Amino acid sequence: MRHQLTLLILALLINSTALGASRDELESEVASLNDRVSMLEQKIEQLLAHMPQPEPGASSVLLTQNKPDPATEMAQAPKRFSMGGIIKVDLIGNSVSTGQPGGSNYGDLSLLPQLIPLDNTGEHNQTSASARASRLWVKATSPTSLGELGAYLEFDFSSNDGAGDERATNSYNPRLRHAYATFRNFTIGQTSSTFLNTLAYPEVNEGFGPAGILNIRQPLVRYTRQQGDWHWFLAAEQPETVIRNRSAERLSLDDDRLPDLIGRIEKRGAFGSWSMAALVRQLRMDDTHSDTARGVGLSTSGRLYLSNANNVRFALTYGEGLGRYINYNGFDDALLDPDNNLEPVSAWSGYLAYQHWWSENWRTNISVGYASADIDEKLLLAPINERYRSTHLNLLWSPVPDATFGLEWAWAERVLTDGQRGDINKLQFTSTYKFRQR
Amino acid sequence: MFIKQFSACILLTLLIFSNACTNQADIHSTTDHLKLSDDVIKVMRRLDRLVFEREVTELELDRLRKEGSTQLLSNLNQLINSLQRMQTEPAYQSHIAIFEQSTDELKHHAASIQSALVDKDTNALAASLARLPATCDSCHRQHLKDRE
Repeated sequence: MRHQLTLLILALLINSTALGASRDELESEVASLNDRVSMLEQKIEQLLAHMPQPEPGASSVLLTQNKPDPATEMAQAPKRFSMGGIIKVDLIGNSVSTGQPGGSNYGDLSLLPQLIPLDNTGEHNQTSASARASRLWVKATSPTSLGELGAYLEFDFSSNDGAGDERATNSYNPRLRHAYATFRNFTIGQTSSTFLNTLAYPEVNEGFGPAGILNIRQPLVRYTRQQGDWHWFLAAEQPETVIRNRSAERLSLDDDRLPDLIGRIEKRGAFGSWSMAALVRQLRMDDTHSDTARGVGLSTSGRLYLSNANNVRFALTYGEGLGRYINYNGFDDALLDPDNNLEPVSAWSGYLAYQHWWSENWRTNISVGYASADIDEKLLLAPINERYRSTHLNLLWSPVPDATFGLEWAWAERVLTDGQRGDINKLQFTSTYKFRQR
Repeated sequence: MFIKQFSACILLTLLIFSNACTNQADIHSTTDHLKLSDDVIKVMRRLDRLVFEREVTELELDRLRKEGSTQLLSNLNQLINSLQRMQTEPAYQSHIAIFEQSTDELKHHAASIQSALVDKDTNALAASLARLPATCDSCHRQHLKDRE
């Protein structure tokens, strides 16, 4: 290298001489260039000293082919980290009060059909306001030589446990919604169950959605594969058997051994998306008496685009022993027969929703939902919830993409096995603002 | 005399047919362009409206944005091809300058989207997508102005 540089300098010398430069000037330039070359050589040596050394006998080609140390790679990989959230403020008027006294008012803020007061009893025409449905999320992705690593964490403040109240500070505990990591085709952690299709969810102000919706988040291990427009999902998810004993008390047993197994296929394309899911689970109790039963379910759902991005969203589900997947555990997985064995409950549910865009900023969503369980009354000493219905209608305005204001009317009904019924009218104004740090 | 009349008829027929064929081709390429533009608008509108999703996580939204952008890139490349075909047709020769400029801009946008997808850079992707409508609007406005 030094020889090449010397030749180059000589060539420059000859050239410069030809141009008439003085000998002293040229000598000074050569000395300066020699200094710079020495400095560069020192820097190269310093850099080489910090590089991993090859094994004795290994060629330099092999050195470049060595895989990087995973820890070093992780440390050096460009990570993308971002956080954001939603500020969601609800102002709600209910025709009947579903909330409990004490200031937490949880039932009035959410529309859980199983909490609707029966036969128009209870308090009437109350208003509530809350920002507890606001959310905060953080997201990180890191490329590695084996694939991209992703992580996601999301909280809201809708926890019913240890919640604050409305008297002074309206302070509420954070609640974990999602905490999962993705790597290549795998998702590991807590997120929405594979049995449901969040793309088919109607856009409603009210947090729980229409009757008949599947909404469950739980720990899972999921394998995903994509072939063209088709997406395949296979998951093992958290089991939890919920039963109703003879005196109509609900029990969450925590006696499960096998995970709920779920498979789903989804096709996405210009038409929208369509999905079909199947669930197999073991229901298990291990109390004074032990028994197991099988739960199975099928669900189809989707979003179909019409003109101008108007769209129809739907879901239809049927199965035995899948009560906890419908309407936030709207039904039980099983009842107990006279011999104290598990008797899985058959249930079906569905909803149909339409989203219409009046302009780029204004849109309306309408949805109707229904859920019903086939319950053997002879196994119970008291009536329990047998079916739910609901209708939601809203008008939403998004003056800018990150902010939405909307007014929604909702009606919902529940009917018990003995025919008792209750319904509620709900008027809800919601303001949402989405923010994110990029 | 007959030969002259026959030749004139043949010439007239050829002229009518050639004119008709040219118009058919123009109409075909215009229809093609309209359909492809409509496809691009549809995908862009869906991408824009992903921000209103409430139950889909941000990580999942990134994946949906990537899928939508891949679809958009495919539609955009078809649109660029249609524009290049239109440039060869006689009916559009008066708009050749704006067509060429728009084609170059669209190619640049397509390259930016491709690069953002490869880099998995959602911010760069959003920025590239945001620049796309201006090119389409500018060309359509200029085209309408020229026709007037």
